Amino acid sequence: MKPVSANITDAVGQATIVSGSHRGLLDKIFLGLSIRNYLGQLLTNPVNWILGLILAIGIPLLCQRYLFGLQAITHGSQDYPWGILLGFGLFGMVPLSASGFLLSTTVEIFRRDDFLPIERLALLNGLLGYFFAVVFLLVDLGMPWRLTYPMVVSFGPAAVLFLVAWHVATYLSVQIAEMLPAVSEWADWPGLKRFIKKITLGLTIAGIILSTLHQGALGALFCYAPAKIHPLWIAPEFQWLHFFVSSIFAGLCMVIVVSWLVKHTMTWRCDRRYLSTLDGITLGLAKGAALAMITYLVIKLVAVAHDQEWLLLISGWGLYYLLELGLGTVVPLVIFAYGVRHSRVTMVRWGALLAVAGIVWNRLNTVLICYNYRLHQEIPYWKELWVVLTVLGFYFIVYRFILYRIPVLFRWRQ
Amino acid sequence: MRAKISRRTLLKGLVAAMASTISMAPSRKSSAHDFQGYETNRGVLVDVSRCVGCRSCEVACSREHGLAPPPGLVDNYRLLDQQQQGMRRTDQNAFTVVNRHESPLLTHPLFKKTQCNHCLEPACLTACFVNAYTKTPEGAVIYDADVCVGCRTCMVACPFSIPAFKYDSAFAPQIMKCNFCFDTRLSRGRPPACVEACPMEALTFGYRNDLLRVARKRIRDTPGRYEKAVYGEFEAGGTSWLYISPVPFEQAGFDIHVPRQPILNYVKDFLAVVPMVLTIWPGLFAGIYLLARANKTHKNTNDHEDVSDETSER
Amino acid sequence: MKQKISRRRIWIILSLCAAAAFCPSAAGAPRQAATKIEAPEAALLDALSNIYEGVRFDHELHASYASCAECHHHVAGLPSADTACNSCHRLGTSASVLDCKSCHRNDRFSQQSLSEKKNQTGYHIDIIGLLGAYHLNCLGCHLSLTAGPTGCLDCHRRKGPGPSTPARVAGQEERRAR
Repeated sequence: MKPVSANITDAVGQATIVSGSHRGLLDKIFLGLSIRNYLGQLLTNPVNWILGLILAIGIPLLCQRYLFGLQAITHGSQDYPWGILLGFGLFGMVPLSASGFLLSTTVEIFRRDDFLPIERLALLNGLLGYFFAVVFLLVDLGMPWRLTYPMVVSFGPAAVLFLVAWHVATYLSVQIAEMLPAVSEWADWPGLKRFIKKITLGLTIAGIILSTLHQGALGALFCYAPAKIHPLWIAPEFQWLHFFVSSIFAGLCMVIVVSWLVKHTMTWRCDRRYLSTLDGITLGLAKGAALAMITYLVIKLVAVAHDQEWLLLISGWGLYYLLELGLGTVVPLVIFAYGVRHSRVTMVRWGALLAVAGIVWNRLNTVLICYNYRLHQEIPYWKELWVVLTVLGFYFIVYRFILYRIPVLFRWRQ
Repeated sequence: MRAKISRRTLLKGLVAAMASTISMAPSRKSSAHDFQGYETNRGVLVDVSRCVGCRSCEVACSREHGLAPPPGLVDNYRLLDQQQQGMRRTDQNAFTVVNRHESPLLTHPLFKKTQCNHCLEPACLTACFVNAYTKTPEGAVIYDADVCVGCRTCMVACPFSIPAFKYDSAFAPQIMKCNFCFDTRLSRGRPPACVEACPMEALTFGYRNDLLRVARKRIRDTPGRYEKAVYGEFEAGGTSWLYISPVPFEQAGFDIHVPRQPILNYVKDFLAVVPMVLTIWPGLFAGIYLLARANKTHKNTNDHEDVSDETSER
Repeated sequence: MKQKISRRRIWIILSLCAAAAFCPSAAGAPRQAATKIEAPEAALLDALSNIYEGVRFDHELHASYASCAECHHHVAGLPSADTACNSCHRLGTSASVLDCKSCHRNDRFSQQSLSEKKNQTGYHIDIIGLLGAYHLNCLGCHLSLTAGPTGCLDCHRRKGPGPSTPARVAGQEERRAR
C-alpha cells in the first residue's frame, strides 16, 4: 500500500498544489497520471488484487442471482425471509450511515465549527452507506426493477416499510444535495455550490427528520414480528427508539473508524487541517458517542423492566444478550470514558471499531439469530456471504475513488 | 444583511424540510380504527379431532391451484412419520400441509392442517408497502402479484408464517399463499377445494360468526372431548379459520405464542411517533440553530475573530 | 288427535320408504322395531360418487352388530345412542324418512344452506354434511372397534385412473396397534 500511495503523492500532490480548477477532466479522473501509469499503480496495489479476487467470484454469483433467482445464491428459506443480505446490507449499513446527519447537525445546526474538517467525510460516509444499502436491497428484492412501485404505482401508506422506502429515497436525495458542494468544487461549477449553500439549513433539518424517522422505522419493522423475535431483542413500544439511539453512536463510531483508516492509508490525500485536527475531533466524537451509549443502555434497561424480562436474562439467550450488550456497548463505553479522559486516541479508535461491530452484531441478532428463535437456525449459504463481500468490495472501490478525487479530506485550492 | 439572508434561508429550509417529509405522513383508514371484521366473513372450522391425516385437502388444493402434487401420497405414505424431526410448512408448492402431532394425552396421533388463516386484520396486509394484499368482504386475504416488489415483509409479519416466496424464479417471483379459493370458488359462494374434499368434515365451512357458535356447541355438547377454547377466535385479532382440538393447542402443533391482538397494534406506537417528529423536530432544531448562531456571533464580536472566512470555505 | 293420525301415517310411509334407507337393526327390543320397518338387506351409497364408485353397504350385517339408534339417532323411534339428542327427543320420535341424506345435506356448504342457517342460535346448527356423516360414522366405529375396513380403497373402488389420491387413512396402524 505504502509505495503506491507514495507514487500517487508525487503526481497528485503536485497536481493539487499547483492548481485544482483548470486541469482537464481526464487529469482529474486519473489523478494527474497518464492512463498507463494509473493502471500500473492499480496493479501494484495488493489491495486491488484482493478486491479483484472477491469480484472475480462475486460478479458471476451476481449474474447467477439475476438469471436464476435468489434460490441460486441463498438458501431461499421460507422461515427466514430476510437473510444476511438484508440483515447486514440494510439493517447493518444504515445505522453506520447515520454519520451524515449527525455531523451536518453538529456543524450546521449546533454551529460546532471545530468538527468542520470531518463533516464532508461523514456526509460521504452517510451517502455511500445509504446508496449501498439500496444496492443490497436491489440484490435481495424479488423484483428489483419494481423498486419505485411504492412511490409511483401502488401505495400502502399505513405500512412501516412505506415510510422506510420514502424516507430512504428522500434522504438519499438530500445527501446527494449535501455532497454537491464538494462535487461542484471538483467539477468547477461554482453556481451549484452557491445554490446548495442557500438551502443547507433546510437540507440539514430535513436530514434530521428523515433520519430519525427511518432509523426508527427500521426498528419498528420488527414490531411486525413481536412473537417471532426473542423478547429481549424486541420491545414493540421502544424498538424504534432503540434503533434510533443506537444509530447515533453507530454513525459516530463509523466516522471515527473511517477517518482513522483514511488517515493511515490515504495520508497523501489529507490536508494539514484534517491531519492536525483529527485526534481532537476523534475524542469529541467519542464523547458524543459515549453519551448516546449511556442513553441506549438506559432505554434497553427500561425495555427489560417494562416487559418484566429479568428472568430471561439468566437464560442462555439472556447471557447472549448480555454478551452482545457488554462487548458491543459497555466495553466501548468504558474505553471511550477512559480514552477521552486520558486523551488516548488510538484506544478510542479501537473502541469505536468494537462499537461498530457491536451494532452490526445487534442488527444481525435481530434479523437472523434471534428471529424465529424457537425454530431452526438459518446459516447463510456461502454464496450469499460472498455476494455481501462483493457488494462491500464495490462499496470500498467507490468510496476510495471518491476520496481520492473529490475534496472531502482536503480543501480545494482556487 | 447576513441575518436577513439567513432568516430567509431558514424559512426556505423549513418549508423544504416540511414538504419533503409531510407528504409521506401515514394516513390510515379511519374504518380500521376498531375493525371487528366483515359480517359476511366466511370461515372454516377445523376440528382437529376429526382429521385422519388422509391429506385429501392437500391433493384438492394442489389441483385447484395447479401446483405440483403433494409428495409421498401413493408410493410413500410414511411421509407423515418422517416429519417428526421438523414439521412441513406451507411453501411455493403447497398452500396447505397436514402435519402429524403426538400428544401424551392420546393413544393416537393428531393431524393438523395448516394454511392461511385469513385474519380479520391481516398482518401481511398491514405490512405491505405496495398494498398487494386485500381483505375481501367474503373473508379471503388475497394477493396481487402485479404490484408486489418481493420485499417479503409479509412473510416476516405473518404470525403464522404462511406466505412463501418463489425464490427459484428470477423473472416472476411472487408470494405463494392460500387465497381461500377466492377467484374460483369463494367469490361465487362455494366452499374452498380443501373443504369440499375433506371426507371427515374435519373442515366446516360457513359464516365465521356461525362457526364460532358451532364450535362452542361442539365443545359444550361433548364434554371432555375438546379443549375449552377456539383457536383463532382471538389470535392475531381473530382469524377466519378456527380450530378446536382435543388436546391443549401446543400439543397439536399450534403456535400459542401468537399475540391475541392484531399485529398492526404493535406498530401503532411507532406510527404515532411519525407526526410527532414531523411537528417537533423542525422547530426544535431551527431554534437550536438560531441560538447557536446568536451565541457564535456574540462570541465573535467579543473575540474580534472572523469565522466567516472559515465558513465561506465550505 | 291430529297428532295421532300423523304418527300412524308416518309408520306407513316408513315401511314404504324403507328400501331407500339404510338402517341397522339390533338385538332385543330394537329388533322389534326393525322388523316393523323392514330394513333393507343392503344399500348402495352412491350419492357422492365422483372419483370413487359407490359403496355397497351391507345393512343386514351392520344391523346385527348395532342398534338402529347407533346410526339413525332418534329418528328410528328409539332413544338415540347419542345422548345429546335425548335431551329433547327422549322418547325417540320416528321420522317419515330414515335415509341419511334426508337430514345430512349433500350441500351443507352451499350458499343456500349457509343463508338458511345464518345467525341461527337454535340447536341444530351443526348437522354434519352427508360426506362427513358417512365417514365419521363408519370410520368412527371401525377404528374404535378395530373392526371393518378403514382404508379408502377398502370400501371404495376407483373410477378409473385419476389424480393421485390418498392410499389409506394415515395413522390407522397406530390406532390399531394401541
